[in-house]
This record gives sequence, C-alpha cells and structure tokens, in this order.
Amino acid sequence: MNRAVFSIVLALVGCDRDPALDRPLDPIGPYALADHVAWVVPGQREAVWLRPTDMRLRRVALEAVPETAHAAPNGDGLLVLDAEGATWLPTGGGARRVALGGAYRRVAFAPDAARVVLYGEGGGGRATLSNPNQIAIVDLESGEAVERTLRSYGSAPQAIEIGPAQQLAGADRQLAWLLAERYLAVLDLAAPEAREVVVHLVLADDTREVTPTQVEFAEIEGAQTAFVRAIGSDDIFSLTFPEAAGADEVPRPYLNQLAAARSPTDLAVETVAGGQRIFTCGGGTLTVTHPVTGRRTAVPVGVPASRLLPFSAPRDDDLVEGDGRFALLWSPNSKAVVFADLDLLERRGGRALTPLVLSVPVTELSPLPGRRGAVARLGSAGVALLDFEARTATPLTASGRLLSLVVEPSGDRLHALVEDGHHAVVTVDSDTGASHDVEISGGGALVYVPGADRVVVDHGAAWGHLSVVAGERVTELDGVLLKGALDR
Amino acid sequence: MKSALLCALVCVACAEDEMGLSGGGSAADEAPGAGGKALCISDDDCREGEVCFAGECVFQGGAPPAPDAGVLPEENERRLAAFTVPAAGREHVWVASPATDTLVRIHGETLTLDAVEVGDEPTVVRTREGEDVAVVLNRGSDELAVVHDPDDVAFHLLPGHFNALTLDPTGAHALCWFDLGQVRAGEDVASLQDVAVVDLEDGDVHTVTVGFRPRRITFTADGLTALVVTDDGISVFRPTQLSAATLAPTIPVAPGVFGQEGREVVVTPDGAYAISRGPGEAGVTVVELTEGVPRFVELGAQPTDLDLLPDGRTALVMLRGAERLALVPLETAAEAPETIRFVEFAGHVLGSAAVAPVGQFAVLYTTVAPEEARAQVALLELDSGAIVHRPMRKGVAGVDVAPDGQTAFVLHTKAPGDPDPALGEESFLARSHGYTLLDLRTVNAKLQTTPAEPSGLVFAPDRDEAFLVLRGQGVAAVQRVNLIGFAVESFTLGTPPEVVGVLPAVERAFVTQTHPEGRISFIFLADEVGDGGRLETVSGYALNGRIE
Repeated sequence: MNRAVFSIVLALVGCDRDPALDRPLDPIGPYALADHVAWVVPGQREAVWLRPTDMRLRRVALEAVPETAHAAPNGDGLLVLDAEGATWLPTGGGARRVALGGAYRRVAFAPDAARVVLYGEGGGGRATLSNPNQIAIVDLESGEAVERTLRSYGSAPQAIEIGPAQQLAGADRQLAWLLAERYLAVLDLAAPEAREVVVHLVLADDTREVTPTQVEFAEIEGAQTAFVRAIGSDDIFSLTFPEAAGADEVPRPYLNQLAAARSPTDLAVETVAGGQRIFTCGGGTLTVTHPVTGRRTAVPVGVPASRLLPFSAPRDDDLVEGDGRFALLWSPNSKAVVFADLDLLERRGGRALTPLVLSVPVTELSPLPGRRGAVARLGSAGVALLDFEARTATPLTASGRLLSLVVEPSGDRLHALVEDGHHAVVTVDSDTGASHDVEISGGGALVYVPGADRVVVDHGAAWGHLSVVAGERVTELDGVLLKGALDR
Repeated sequence: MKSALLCALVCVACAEDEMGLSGGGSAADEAPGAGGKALCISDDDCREGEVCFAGECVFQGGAPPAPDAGVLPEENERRLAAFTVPAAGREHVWVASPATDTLVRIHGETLTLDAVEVGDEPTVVRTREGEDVAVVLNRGSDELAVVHDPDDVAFHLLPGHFNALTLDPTGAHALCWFDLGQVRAGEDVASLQDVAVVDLEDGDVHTVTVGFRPRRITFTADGLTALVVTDDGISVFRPTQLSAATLAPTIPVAPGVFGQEGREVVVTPDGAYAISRGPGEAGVTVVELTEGVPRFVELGAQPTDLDLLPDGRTALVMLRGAERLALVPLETAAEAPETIRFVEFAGHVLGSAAVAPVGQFAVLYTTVAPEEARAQVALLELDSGAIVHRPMRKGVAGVDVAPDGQTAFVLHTKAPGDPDPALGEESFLARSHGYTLLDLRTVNAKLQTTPAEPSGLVFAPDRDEAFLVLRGQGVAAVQRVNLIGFAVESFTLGTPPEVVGVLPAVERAFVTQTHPEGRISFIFLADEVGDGGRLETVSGYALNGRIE
C-alpha cells in the first residue's frame, strides 16, 4: 500500500519535472576566485559559489545554458558565455547579462577586469560561415557591448592582450592588442567604436611568418610602452604613442625594434639595478636589452632555457634599496634550472647565473616570492625545493604519484595531491621543508583559495563532491552542485 | 686667313647658342666649354687636333701615344668611404624605403620618426647641404619628390627612367641621370645619355643630352656649371640656362677620339681644367675646359695614379715604374714641360697617392708591392718635395687623408686565414684586419687591428673625429676614432652596419644597419671618445610606413 502511494506521488511529481532536470549537469570548474570556489552548471543553468571558510553556498540563476566560463585573473568574477550572450558574475555577488549577436569562445580580460574583449576561435557567429574577425568589446561595469569586425589581412586574432587603463596620447584609454599572424591590431576599449590601427610586423614582400605571441607593458622614460615578442623575429617590437590623438580615435603608435635573444621564447621587462631592461631568453642565451638605446648584452646560459620567471627577493648586498630582481630560467622536461641575478647580469655576465642540475626532468617551476628559491615539480615523482643561495636542491619524493601541485601566492607553502592507494593532500613549508598530510576520499582537481586559505579538491562528481582542507582538518561536502536532494 | 677671320667673328656666338648659354654674361663666356665647335672652311681654321667637317671644327685628336712598356698593373686603391644610402640633413637622417614607397625621416636627437609617402620605389635620396630638405628619386614611378616637411611634398614627373640623382651645390637643381653601373635586369635604359634637370623652385624640367654613359657629375666652384664625366669626354651645361631640350657640348679628355673611355679623369674644383690618364699612355692629358682642346703631356712613364693638389692647379702624377712622381702644373705643362717638377724615390715601389683638399702633405703608397718589399707609406711635403718613408706593419690596401690634412687612415690588406696568436706574431698580424692611424706631421702611427674589415670611413665636420664600420662574420660594430690622441671606441651593434654619417647640428653620428625593416643607431658626440658613449637605436622604420 505504502509502495503504491509512493509510486503515485512519484509519478505525479515526475509529470511536472522541469526538463532541465533531465539534462546532465556537466559542471564546469572549479574556479578559485578570491575567497570562493565557483562552478558553472549548464544542466541547471546556474552558477554555484562556495565560500570554504564557512561552507556557505550561493547559487545564481543564468538566463541561458552556459557553454564556457572564464575566471578573471584578478579573482574579481566569472564571465559565462552562452550562445546568445555573456553573463558577468562578480565574486561579491550579483549578475550582469549582455546580449550578443555573435557567439564567442575566447575572452581577454583587462587587468582590472573592468572590460573584456570576446573573440572566436574559428567561430564568431552562429551561421555556417563564421567570421573569426568579429569581436565584442564589453564593459563589465556598465554592461555595454560593441560588436564589430576587424580589418583583416588574411588572418584573425590568435590572442588578445589588454593593457592597463591609463592616460595615453592625450586621453584616458585602455588599449587592447590583437595578435594575428604577421600583424597586430590596436583597439581602444575606452572608444570601442574607433577604427583600429593595424601594425604590420613584416614588409609586404617579406614572406616570413612572424606571429606576435606575448605583450608586456611598461612605462619607459615617461612613455607608456608595449613590448611585443613574436615567433619568427629576433627582435622585440617596442610600441609607443608619442603623438596625441582625439579621445574618439585610436592613437597611432611609433614602432621600434630592439635586438633581443635569437628566436626569443620568453620576455620580461624589469627594473633592475641599472634601470629598466628587457630580458629575453632564446638561442641559448639570456639577453638584456636597453629599452631606449637598444644596447644588447647576450649572456650564454649553457643549458636549455625557454622560460623566464622573474621574481623579487632580498639581496645579500646593498646594490639596490629593497628587494633585488631575479629570474628562473628553465625549459619544461629539462633537468636544469638557472637562477639569474638580473640586477647584476649586464655587469657580471655569466657569473650572474647559477645553474642547478637535477636528476629528474622538471615539468613545472614556481619561484618562491621573497626567497632566492623555487619549487620544481618533477613530473609525478615529487617536487624539489631549490635554494639558490645555498645552491641546494632538496627533493621531496612522493610515496605514490604526485597528481597536482599548487604554490601559495606568498610562496610560504605548497600543496600537493598524492595518490598511494589512497589520496592525501600534502602541505609543505617552503622554508623548512616540513610537511604534513591529510587523507581525503579521492583524487580530482586541486585548487588553493587564497582569500580563504583553504585547499579544495573537487573529486569530479557531477553532483559536486568536495574535500575542503584547512590545516589538518578535512571537511567533505557532497551534492553541493545540486539544487535539492529530490531534484535528480 | 679668311676663314680664320670668319671664325673669330662668329665662333663665340655659335658656341653660346649650341650650349644654350645665350643671355649669359661674361661668366658664360668664360664657362667651361665656351670655346666649343667653331665654324671653318678648312682644317687651318681649326685648333690643334680638330678637322674641318661640314663647316665645323670637329675634334679628332692625334695618334694615341705609344704605349710605354705594355700596360702596367693598375693600383687597386681601396677607399674606406662607402656609397651613402641614407642622406644626412641638418637634424634629420633621411632613408628611402623602396619596399614601402616611403621616405623615412628620423630626428637625430629625439629619434622622432616620420614616414612620408613619396611615390613608387624611392631609391635615391639626397639632401640640400645642411638643410632638412630631401629630394628623392622614385625609380618605380619615374618622378622626383621634394620633401620640405612630411606635409609638404612636391612631385615632378621625369621625362625618362633614371637611377641616379645629383644635386647642384646650391640645391636649386636636381640632376637625374642613368648610371649604367647600377642597372638592374630588365630595366629601361633608353635614357642612357639624358640628364633630366629639375628646377626645384619652379618645377621646370629640362632634358639635356650628354656624352655616352655618364659616370659622375661635378660642378664648378660657383655651382653654376655642371660637368658630366662621360665615356665621350666631359659634357658641360648650365642648369640655369636651359631651353626645352639641350645638346650639351662634350669636351674630349683624351688626345685621340678612340681613347676617351676607361680613363681616370680629375676636374679642378673651379672647372677650369681636366686632367686624365689612360691605359698604356706614358703621360697625362690636360684640357682647359673653356678651350676644349686636349693636350698630351709626356711624362716618360705610365702614370699609375692621378690626384689634384690643394692649390687646384697642380696634378700629382705617380710614375711607379720610373720610381718617381711628377707635379704637373695644369696651366703650363702642355706649353712648357720644363715647369713639370719630378720627385724621385729610387728603390721604392710607390704607385698611388692620397691628398687632402687642404694641407701640405701627400701620402704615397702602393697596393701592388712585391712580396719581398717591406710594407710602407711615404709622406711627400708638397712645397719642398721632400719624402720620408714610414714602414707599416701590414700591407697597404688604401689611404684616406682627413679633410684637415693632418691625419691619414691607412687601410691594410689581410692574409688568408684566421688570426691565431698561436701561429706567431707575424702570422697573427698578417691575418688580422686593421688600419693604421698616421699623424702626417710627426709620422707617429698606431696600428689598430679589427675583427672585420673596416669600411665606410667618414670624418665628423669641425671635430677631430672619424667613424668607420666593421662588418664581417659575427662582427657588427661601429668605431669612433679620435684623430688627435688616436683613441678608438667600439660600439657593438645588433645587426651588420652599412653606412655611417654625422649630423653636426644635433651632435650625433648615425649608422644604418642591415635589417629587414630598417635599423639606425645614433651615437652621442657630446661624450668624449672612450667615455662609454651612449648609442641609441631605432629599428623598424620601414614598418612605421605600414601602420594603417
């Protein structure tokens, strides 16, 4: 009898089920944003926010089925793209919907996350014939959007970098740099309808493939300058805006090319003891270039080095006031890591480089801010704490497989997810090497939530199964992505 | 007698008409070429070397001078000076960018850059002396662009296709011509004997027909008369006095009509005389350009080099085979050979000379010394004829004398192979590139070895400094040389250097470099040589013309 009644109730409820409840949840995330972790759940057409300090959940309904989500690099919020527009979800709460004519897959955030440029990856429209040069410029604070098609020279933006909002060439501007093969286009996000300025990186009859891939911004002798590294060029392109232009137009840049490392693979603009300098690695050298005079000093590195990770740390001399500038040079899957004293590189050449060669290839490398050291991930075998002052590399071997690793922004600690029949989150003190571990119920995606000082492991269950680690305490949460227990 | 009288009455007027010089004053009468073709009835009415043909005196000359003793091997003088691709104005450097159809103007002090659209394929740019006014020859669109300012460009269509451009000293006229040595495959060479003269003020364009294959254009000291050195002789005209089309008279520079080409020709700064030497001739030929009659001056040996002394009236002729030189006074040598002064240097092989426009010394040397001969230069004191010899540590390839006549750059030869100290000092030096700085008063010398061959020497106006570039395998540098203390400062460049120049008004030297999109570096002259002077680089100026 009871069973019959239950069946009838269930049938009645089932008849009124929202069709959305029958779609798979397919959550997208997790994203660590300030003091929250967030997911987007297309199946429920909502975003879910969890504050790990008090386990408080917040749900935000979305107007359309989300397709992709993009976290603001500064942690200010989450931008959710769907087939008909975008929704900006600030970390502090609320939502702002922007309807768009085109569909976009990629997002470039301004450093302050106040504006974004949306662009496609062969998409850009719902029609069969797509327009990859169609972009949308969205002001996330006002919700205003401008969609337009860029002039093209046979290519389309492969990446977009946005500079800081600043006074430039006679007006308040925020320039976006759209990187395409053989050229780049400059937009002013403060004047989104102004015609873009196109800067060709090769001459018309030059068949070289020069593809801009990295943009760094700096103020050089009072001039706001963008430095562009391009695959296929040994030079760094330096662009300034010496001439004023109206606020409703994009100022015309002045281009200079500065000799850099051969085929540079990474670029950093740093203020060091001798002043501002451009550092590039490539062709077996770490090269210093004066951003104004173009004077170049190439220092052989001696080991593979394709990446350059600059950081600050105290000096053991009084060469500069405050911290000095250093960098790590390395290549993924190479055993060598080079510590570079950027303050002294021009003066001392190779004597400003300290190499450390490990027994296992390095797959990830993170400098430890405030220290003359770094954490090297050695694939799934473990990590090594590199101390360049003592010239030591302390291996921390995982008892099983190292699944993932995060280093806190302060560099004080690192957190690793290790599997050895069971799963554990291991926390290591970067200075002492002391570690402790806590066992959790499974593997998954590990994120560190800096505003909450918590480690969250998403075990990958569609309904949301999490382990929240605070010190040696673990809190398990199940079903955090579900609206209610009877919804499924 | 009757015909001579007839000539006396009409020849001056005829010459003026033919040259388009009518209306000129006395200066025109004295201008080079003013004594052009005369009317005649017989050969007696004509000057030496001319025959009367169809009523006009036509130059034929005499039999070519008998070869002295076969043709001597030519001196192979290598100069450090380079063809100037960019043009220096007052404060700006102007660089043509054929790939982008633009002329790029770069301010030497602020490095501000302007790209000016000037027509199709601008290839040659010149500036008015000391001014920031550029004149550009557009090889693709056959027009001349005159750029006063990026917003002030005047275009002048040319009557033919040209590849060379010369400005007169006043900057009032641009002369476009075709240099066969710069021809490209498939290029239109129809204007091989034309010079298009563009009046840069009013834009008038005139075509002047000159002798075959113009090789260079010089002007008289007053800048009023153009002297076009061709394989037919020297064609003469006045840019200010041209009709729609002008056939310029061509003055022969060799004693015979068949010996006009392949000669070394030197013209005095005032355009009064030309002196030349030809292969196998045991002397030189002097022609007074107002008269137009070449006269052979027998020197008893084949000249191997020809230079003009600072007085502008004496030629220094090297007679290597006779182990002496001749100082040939141009005004009197033909009529009074005894006025020629010979200076002996018996026992020495010296076949070339370098003379500054001012000063009292000439530097004598040879580039074809026998292997066993010790490398040397010799200094000739022009007034006394005294010679002193200065051994060199390396073979001599060429000599340049500073404009003040006080210092010489001796460019050295290099033996094959890399300089390796392990092979010994002699071999190391022989295999090194280098130059010697020579103080012409004290004969003190400094050998400066270099990692690549030095070239592109320029002297900074009003400064005791010079610049040269080093370009070679893995070497890209510019050197700044103090001409008093001989201090040398090297600036390493990111790309191979091409041309170095100086902008005195903003105290900068510049060096253009080989770079696909254009590169130029500026050196601050306010810093002393050796003070680690500042060098600033601008690149990609060709690309600045492609910002749209």
